Amino acid sequence: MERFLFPRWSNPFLLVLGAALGGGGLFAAAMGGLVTDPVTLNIGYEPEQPVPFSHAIHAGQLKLDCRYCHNTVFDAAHAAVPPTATCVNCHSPANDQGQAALAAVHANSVNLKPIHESWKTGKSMQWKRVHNLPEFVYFNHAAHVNSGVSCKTCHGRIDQMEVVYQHEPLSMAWCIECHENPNDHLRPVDKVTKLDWEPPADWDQEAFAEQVRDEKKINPKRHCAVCHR
Amino acid sequence: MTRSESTTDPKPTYWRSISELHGNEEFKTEYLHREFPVAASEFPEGVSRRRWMQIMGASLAMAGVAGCRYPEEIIAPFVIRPEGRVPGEKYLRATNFELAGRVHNLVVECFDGRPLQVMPNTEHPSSAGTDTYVQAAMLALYDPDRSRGDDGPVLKRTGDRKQETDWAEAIGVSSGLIDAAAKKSGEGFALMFSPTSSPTLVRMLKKLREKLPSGMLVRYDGVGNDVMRQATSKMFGVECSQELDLTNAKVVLSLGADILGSDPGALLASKTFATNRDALQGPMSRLYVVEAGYSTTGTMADTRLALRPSQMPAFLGKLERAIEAAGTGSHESPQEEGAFDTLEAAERLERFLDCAAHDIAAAGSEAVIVVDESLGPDVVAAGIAINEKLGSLGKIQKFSPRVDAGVSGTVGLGSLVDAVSAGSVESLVILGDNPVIAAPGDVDFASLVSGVKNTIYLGEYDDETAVLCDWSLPLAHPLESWSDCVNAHGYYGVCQPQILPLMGGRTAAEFVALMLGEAVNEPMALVRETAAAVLGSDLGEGAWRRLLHDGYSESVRMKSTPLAITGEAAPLPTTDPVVVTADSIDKDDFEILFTVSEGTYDGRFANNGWLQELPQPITKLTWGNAAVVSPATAKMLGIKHGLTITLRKDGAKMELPVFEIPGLAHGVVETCIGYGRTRAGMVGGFADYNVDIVGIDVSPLRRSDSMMIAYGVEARPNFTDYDFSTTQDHWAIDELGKEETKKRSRTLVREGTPALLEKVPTFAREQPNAMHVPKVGKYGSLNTEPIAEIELDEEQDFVPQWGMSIDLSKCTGCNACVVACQSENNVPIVGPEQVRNSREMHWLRIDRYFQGNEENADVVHQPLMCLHCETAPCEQVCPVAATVHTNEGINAMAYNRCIGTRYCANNCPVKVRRFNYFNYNKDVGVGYGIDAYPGSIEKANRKLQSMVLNPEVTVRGRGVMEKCTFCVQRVEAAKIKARKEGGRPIRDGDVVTACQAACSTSAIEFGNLADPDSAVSKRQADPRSYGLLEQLNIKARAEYLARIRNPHPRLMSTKQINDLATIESHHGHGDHGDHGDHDGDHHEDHAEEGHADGHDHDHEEQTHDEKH
Repeated sequence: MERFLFPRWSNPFLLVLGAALGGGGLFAAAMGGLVTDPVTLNIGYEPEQPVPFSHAIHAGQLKLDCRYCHNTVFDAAHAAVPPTATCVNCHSPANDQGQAALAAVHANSVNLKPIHESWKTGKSMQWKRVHNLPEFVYFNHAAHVNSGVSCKTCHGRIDQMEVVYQHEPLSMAWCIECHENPNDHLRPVDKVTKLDWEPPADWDQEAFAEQVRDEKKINPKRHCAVCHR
Repeated sequence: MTRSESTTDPKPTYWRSISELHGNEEFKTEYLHREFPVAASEFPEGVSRRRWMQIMGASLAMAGVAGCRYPEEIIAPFVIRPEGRVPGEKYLRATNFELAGRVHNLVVECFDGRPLQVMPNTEHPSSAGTDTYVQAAMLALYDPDRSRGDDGPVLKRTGDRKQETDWAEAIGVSSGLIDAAAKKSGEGFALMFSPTSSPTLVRMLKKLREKLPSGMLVRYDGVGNDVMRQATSKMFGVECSQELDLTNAKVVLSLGADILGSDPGALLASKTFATNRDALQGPMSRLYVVEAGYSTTGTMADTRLALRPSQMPAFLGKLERAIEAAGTGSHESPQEEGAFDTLEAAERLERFLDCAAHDIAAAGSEAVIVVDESLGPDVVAAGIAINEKLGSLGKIQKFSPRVDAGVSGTVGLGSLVDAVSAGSVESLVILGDNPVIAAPGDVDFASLVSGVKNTIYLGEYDDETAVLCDWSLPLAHPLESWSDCVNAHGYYGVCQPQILPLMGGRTAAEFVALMLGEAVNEPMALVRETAAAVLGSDLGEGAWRRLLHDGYSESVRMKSTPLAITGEAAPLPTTDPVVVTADSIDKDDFEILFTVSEGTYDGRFANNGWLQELPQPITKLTWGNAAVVSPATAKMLGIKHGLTITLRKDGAKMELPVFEIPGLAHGVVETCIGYGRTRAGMVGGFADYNVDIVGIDVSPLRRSDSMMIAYGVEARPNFTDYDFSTTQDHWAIDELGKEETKKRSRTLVREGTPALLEKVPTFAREQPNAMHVPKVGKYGSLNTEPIAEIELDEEQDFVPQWGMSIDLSKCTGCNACVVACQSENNVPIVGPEQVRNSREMHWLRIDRYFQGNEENADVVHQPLMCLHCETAPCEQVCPVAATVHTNEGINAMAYNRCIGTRYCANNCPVKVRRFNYFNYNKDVGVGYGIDAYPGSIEKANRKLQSMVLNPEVTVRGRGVMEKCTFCVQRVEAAKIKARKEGGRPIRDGDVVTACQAACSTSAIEFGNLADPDSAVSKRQADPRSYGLLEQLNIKARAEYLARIRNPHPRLMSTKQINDLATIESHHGHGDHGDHGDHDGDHHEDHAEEGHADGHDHDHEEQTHDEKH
C-alpha cells in the first residue's frame, strides 16, 4: 500500500492546531492557577437563606451582641446557630385567634413564616452554612475567641451585612498567616464581639499583643495536627 | 538476650509462632523479609468484578459531584435547645449494665445525642476498666442487622410466612397467653431467661411467679452451666457469685480458672492483681496457674503448669494434702539440678506442687486457690473449703448472693426438655440471649421449640432462636434501655438510655410488665420503683437525679449478709494426678476444653465486626475458631498446623482445623464456642443470604452435664487444608537482620525476676551484646534534628511533650485497648480475606511472644502502637511531608497530603503503619469487610452504621496511610480546655488516651514528659524502662517497663537462671534512675562516657571465647 501523505492544502490547519494547543494551555493554567484559587472560589459565597435575616439590622442597628444568638462561642468548637426559640423570643407568632403578643415584633411578617412554621411543628430550620471548612479541618471557636481573636478577623463586618457572605478565603495559607504572626489580630477578650471596636489613639498593638501572649501563653502552632486530626 | 544464648542457641529467645521458633523458611520469606504476604498488594480476590466496578464507580461519581466548591451544607438547629446542651461538644453520661455476664459501671461519651465511646466510670468505687465486649457494644448499637422490618418492629411467623407488625398486637397475644395460663394457675406456661443481675427484671419475674404459681421459670446459663451456683448453694445455702479481691493476696493458684480473662469477675480481679505486681513498690504477689489450655491468666502466671482437666481434681487433692504437710514440716529446698522448663513432665509436676504448697502454707490467709467452674461443683466447693481453711475466704475470695437467686422455683433446661416432651408446655416465652446457638449437642432446641404451640422470643436480632418462634420481638440494646444491675460490691446502678431505641426495641422487664398487664410499665418508672425498693424508702427527685448522674449511690446499695459455710465439700480423690507425656498421648482419650470466645462470647456478638476481627489473645486468630493443641499432640496425630482433625464422641463429631500453640497439656484440644452461626447477620454469617459462616460450631460435642469440658474424645487426623486468618506472624519486627547484627541487637521484650531486679536494677537496659550507638541531635551529630531545635528554643518550654509508658508486668493482653482505639479512631475492619493479606487496620496491636520451648513456654504481651520516635524514620522518606513532627513530639499524619507511596510503612522499624487499600469506611460500609457485602444488602439502612464514627477524627479514604496519633484529638481538646480556663498549663491527667482509659490494670500511662512530676515521666525514669530498637537511635516517645516474673526460686526457667547469673550492671554508675529530664536523651547518657566502647569490646571477646 502506498504511504498516506497529508495534502499540501492542509498545512494551514497546523497553525490552527498550534494556536488551539497554546491557547488551551493558557486556559488551563488560568483555570488551575487563578480560578480555583480559594480567593476566587470562596470569597463572596452568599447563599440564600430560608429567612432573609439581616445581621445589619440585628447586630448593627440594634446592637445585639453576637452571643445573644451564637451563645456557645466561648465554650465550644462551634458558634452554635440559635434554636428557633431564640428568634421567637422577639418574633413570637400570632396565636390561633390571630392575636399577637404585645411585645411581639413583626408577628405577622411573611418573611418570618418559616420561623413560625418551625416553632409550631417542632421541625428544625434549614439554614445554609456560609463558612464551610472541609471535614478534615478541626476549627475551634473557643480556642480563638478566648485568646482575643475577634469575630471580625475571620467573618468580616457581619454587623454591616444585609446578607451574610464569606469575607475571607478561609484557606490554609490564610490560616497559617495569622498563626505565624498573630499579633495584629489580638484584642482584649471583652472586645472580641464588638465588631466596630477601634483601638484608642495611644494603643500600642505590638506591646499589647506581646503582653497578652506572655500572660496567656498564646503560641499558635503551625504543625499539621493542630487542625488536622 | 544473654551471651550464652546468643552464641549457642541460634533460635530466637522470643518468638511469635512455632514456625518462627524453628526458623521456618516460610516465616522468613513470607513475613519477616517481605513487607506484606504474597498477593497483599494485588487485586482482591473473592470480590466480583461487578462489585469492584460498583465500588470504584461510586468513588468516581463522588469526585465529579464534589466539583470545585465544598458541597452545600445545611445547619438544622434545635427548635428549643435543651438546657445545658452545647451543640457539637461531647458530653458524658453515667450508666451501668450487664453484658455477657459481667456488670459494668461506665460513662458513655455522647455527641449531639448519639453515644460514641464507652469508658469506665472512674468515680465509681468499684470501677475497674472495661473489656472488649463492652467497648464493642457501640458498634452493636448501630448494627443495621438488628432491624426486623420497615413496617413494624415486630415479626410474626406462621409457617414460612413472616409478617411485620407492631407491639400492640404482640403484647395482646402475649398477655392473652398469660391470662389463659392464669386460669390454670400457670400450668403449661414456661418462660426462659438468662442469669441476670437486674433487680427490676427479677422483681417482674417474681410478679409473674405470683400470678402463675405453677408456671415454669427456666433459667438457662449456656456458659457457666450454673456450676458456681450449685457449689455455693451447697457450701453456703445461697446461690452466689464469686469476686476476687487480690489486693492483699500473696499467693494465688488458679486451677484452670481464667480469673484475669474470661471469668465474669475478671475486671476487678485484674485491677486488684495489678496493684501488687510492682517489684519496686513492695513485694510482688505470686501467681501459679495450672491449666490445660493457654488462657490470659496463664500468660500472666509466674509459673504455669500444663495439666489435663481430668487430673485437676486429683491435683487439688494432692495439693491440699501437701499444704497440710507443709504447715507442719519445715520447707527444705533440696539442691536440684535443672531449670523448671527442662524437667521431665512428672518431675515438673512434683516440683511445682511442692513449691506451690509451701508458698500457700506460708502465706496462709493471704493465699487463695481458685477452681474453674468447668471442673464441676464438687471441685469448686472443695476449693472454697480449702480457702476457708487457709482463711482467705471472705478476704480474697468473696461471695455475694446472686440477684436472681430470689426468683423461687426456677428450673434448668433439662426440666423444660422433659416437660415439652411430656407435652405439658403450651406456651414458651424466651427472654433474649439466643439460647439455640450455645445449646449443648444433646439438647435439640429446634424440636424443643416446635413442640410448643405458642412461642415468643424477645431478642436483639432476628436470629436462630427467633426463626423457630412464632413471634420475634426486638429487645432494646443496653445503650438504649432503662434497666439496672447490681455489681460485685452490692452497688445498685441504673442503666440509663443514651439514645431512644433505634429498632423499636423494648427491655425485658418492660415486656414482662406489659405481658402481666401491670399498671406501671414504663421502663423508667419500673427502674425507679426498684431503686426505691433497694433504698427502702421513696427516692426523691433530687436523689434520683443524683443516682443517675453519679452512676451509684452509697445509700442505694444491697444489704450484705455475712455468709457462713453450712455445707461440706465432697472429698477430693486421693490418687495422684497422672501426667500425660508427649509419647503417651492416647488418641482415643482426648479432652476438649470449651472456652468462651474472646470475640463473640457464646456467639451473641458474632455480628460485631470489631470483635470478629480482634486477634484473640493467644492464637492471634481472627474471624474463626480452631482446635488449639500442643505441637506434640499434633505430631502424634501425624498432622500439623493448618490441617483439620475430626473429634468424635458418642456418635457426635466435628471437624476443626488444628492450631499449634506451645505449652498446652498433651491430648487436650482447646476450642472456642460461639462460632458457626447461620443467622448472625451480614458480618457474622447468614446462610439464607449466602453470607459466609464464620468459624465452626462446636456445640455437637458439648453435653448438658459438662458443658465446658468433654472427656474421652476420639481424635483422628483429617488432611483437609484450612487457611487461618491469624495475625500472629504479621508485622514481625526484624530485630535479627543479618547474622552479624543479630549477635549485637537488642531484644524487643525484656524480662527479669525480682532477684535480677535487685542485682541489676537497670537490667532492661543492659544489652551486653548491643552495639555502640552514635549520638544524634545536640550531642554532636552533623545534622541538627528538628527535635533538638525545639529543646533549645526557650519559647517552647511551655509546650508539653507527650509520651507513653507501658508496663509489661501489668498487661494481660485482654485487647480492651485495641477495641477502644478502634472505636475512638474510626479504624475500619477489613474482613477475613484482607486479614490473610496482612491488611488489618488496627492502630494498636498486641504482640504476643513465646519464650521457652514447645513443651513449656511463657508468654509476654507487648502492646505496640506508633512509638512516636523523635527521629522518626517514616518522616524522612515521605516525599510529600504528609507525616511530620509536631513541636509536642507527636508524629502527626496529614491524611490529605498522603499520596500513598507507602514508603513510610516500609521504613517504619516497628511496622505500625496501616494502609487503606480500599475505601473501607465509605464504600464498603463501616465495620464491613469486602466479602461481607453481598449485593442483596446494599440498602440505605446500612448508613446507620456510620453513626458510630467519631466526628473528632478524620475518616480516612482509600490510598491513605494511617497510624496511632496518640489520640491527638483528645490532646487538642485538653489544650483547648486549658486555654478556656485562662491559658493554664496542661496538668497530669488532662489527657487520657482511649487505650489508657480502657485498661483495667493501668498498664498504660500517658502524659507530659516535660513535667518531671507527671506519672509518665516517673514511669520512664524507672530503672526498668527501656525503649524499643534503641540501636536505631529512633528515640521512641513510648517506652516499656520490663516484665517482671516472680517465680519460686526452685521454679525458675533456664532463661531466668541464666539472666540472673550473667547480666551485670554494664556501666556501674547506678545513674539510670535519676534522669527525669524530659528531652528524651536519657537512653544515651551512658554512651557519652568514653569507655562504653571498651566494654562492648570486652564482651565481644568474651563471647568469642565461650564459643570455642
